[in-house]
Amino acid sequence: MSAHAEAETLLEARGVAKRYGHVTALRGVDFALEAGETHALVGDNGAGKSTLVKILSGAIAPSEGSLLVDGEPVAFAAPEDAFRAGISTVYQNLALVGCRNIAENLFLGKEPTRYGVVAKAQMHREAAEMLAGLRQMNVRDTTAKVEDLSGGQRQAVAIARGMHQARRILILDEPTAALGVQESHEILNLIEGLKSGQRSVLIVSHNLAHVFRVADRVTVLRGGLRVGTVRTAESSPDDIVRMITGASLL
Amino acid sequence: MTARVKGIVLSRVGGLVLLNAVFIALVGSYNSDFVRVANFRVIVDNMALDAVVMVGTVLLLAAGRFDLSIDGVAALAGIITGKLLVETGTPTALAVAAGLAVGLLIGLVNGVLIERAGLNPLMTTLATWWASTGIALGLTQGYSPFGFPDSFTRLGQETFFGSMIAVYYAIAIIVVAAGVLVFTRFGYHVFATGGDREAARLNGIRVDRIGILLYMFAGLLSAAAGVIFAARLSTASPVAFDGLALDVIAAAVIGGASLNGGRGSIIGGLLGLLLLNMLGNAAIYVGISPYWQKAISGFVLLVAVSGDVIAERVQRSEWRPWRRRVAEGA
Repeated sequence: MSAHAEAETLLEARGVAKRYGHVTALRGVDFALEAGETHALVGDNGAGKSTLVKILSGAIAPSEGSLLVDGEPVAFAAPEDAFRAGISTVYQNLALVGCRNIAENLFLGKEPTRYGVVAKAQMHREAAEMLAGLRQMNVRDTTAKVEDLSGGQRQAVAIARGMHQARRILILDEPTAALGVQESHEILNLIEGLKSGQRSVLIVSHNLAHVFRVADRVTVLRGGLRVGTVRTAESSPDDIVRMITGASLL
Repeated sequence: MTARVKGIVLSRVGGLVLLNAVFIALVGSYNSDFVRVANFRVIVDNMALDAVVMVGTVLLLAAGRFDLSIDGVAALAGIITGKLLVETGTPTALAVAAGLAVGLLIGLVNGVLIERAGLNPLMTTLATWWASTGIALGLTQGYSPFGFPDSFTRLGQETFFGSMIAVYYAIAIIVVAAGVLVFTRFGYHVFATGGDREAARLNGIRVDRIGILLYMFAGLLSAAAGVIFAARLSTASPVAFDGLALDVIAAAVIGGASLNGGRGSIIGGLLGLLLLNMLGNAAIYVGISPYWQKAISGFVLLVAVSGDVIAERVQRSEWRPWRRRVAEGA
């Protein structure tokens, strides 16, 4: 444990809570993402996973608690602030604009420009390169509108965008939910590739096989509370299931 | 290349060019006076200020918003400018600036109430239309200001190469706005915001800021139209623009803009406006009473909107009646 304690903490949430009127989605959760690690966030539906992801990515503000990047307190007023801190997120709803084409979605909000004009040719060229690593997804025509793509192809576009934009941290909320076996395998390979590139990954998933394949540590949430954080090398899927369901507390 | 030509013809702009051309040919073959250059000058002169306002409307629709306050803003800007010129002797430049500032201010109010306070766009812009029209009526008490200095009336009455100066204002605004919409990051963000507001926000686009800017731009263009119209007529009327908002929204929708956002074309809107103006003008040449003009325009709008929905469903294979017939037959 002492060897792990030396790892640099990149992103940290301290006592984070989120309330929507009378409903409390998160209750004072602590969370830490270390440099170069892949960290999985698991829990049942309504555990607060997506809420925590949205707070870490600047999509919503916490009702209580604080965020730290490199040990320094930060306040994300908008997703753009998190992006500036090197955090890129692939949301569960994918955050794609259906009526725009693939290249425009891959560069959404961050379009390259030349003399104030969007560099369309550059955008399509780089978009094709970004998608080249996702061969199983069969997404090639960067001029195709996203609304004309299948669910899996849309997920591929969102993941390609996240991977391209993530300078330090990539957050993936259910990245393999709409994918088949081959496509999931490809995404997991890409996540492993990110780790070798020294980028940290936070992955939210219901699939414990996927979690144990790519994650170094797992944090379990239940009912808006953090149940615990364990190393995958020192635990089993059954341990995680017990933490998710609460059986270990009985 | 063939596919590209086919794509252009099947696009909304291509279709409207074709429709306008067929319309001109048909009416021209019935009455050749319709296709005289002088007649087209009249049509273009008449639609120039509508085109200025339409630009703001297309941008708003592309971003998934709309503005009903256009008529009131245009009227109030004309009245404010007119009263300052006539009653206080304010220099022309200042009076015009005050009129334009009114448009910017109402646009800002619309934008902040809708984007920041979360008020309903329909009710908010209906309220500001009502308020601005009411203020215009209250300020004039039924007496329209007139007797403007030449330095002001020239802004609306000069002609170049046989066309009113408003045509050149419109061309300049259309070229700049179309360029911004199609080629700049801001234009991309306008379409993205209209296509999926939340997705745009999650990707770092300041959707509320875009909305406020667009409402201010629409207000500015409406005010400019009101000021120029007052200069053209040498008087400012609080009811001169009644129905303008719906006319330009109709033209924008005929031109391919979607009320759901994410789609819109300034050139398409211009072609839609041209079609609506030609309908009114052609009615005279083919002997149809002008009283039928609104009915014809309504029919064209209905066809455009229905055609849009049918084309979209066919493209997405959601509605293929021939398939159903095959299935039923089997």
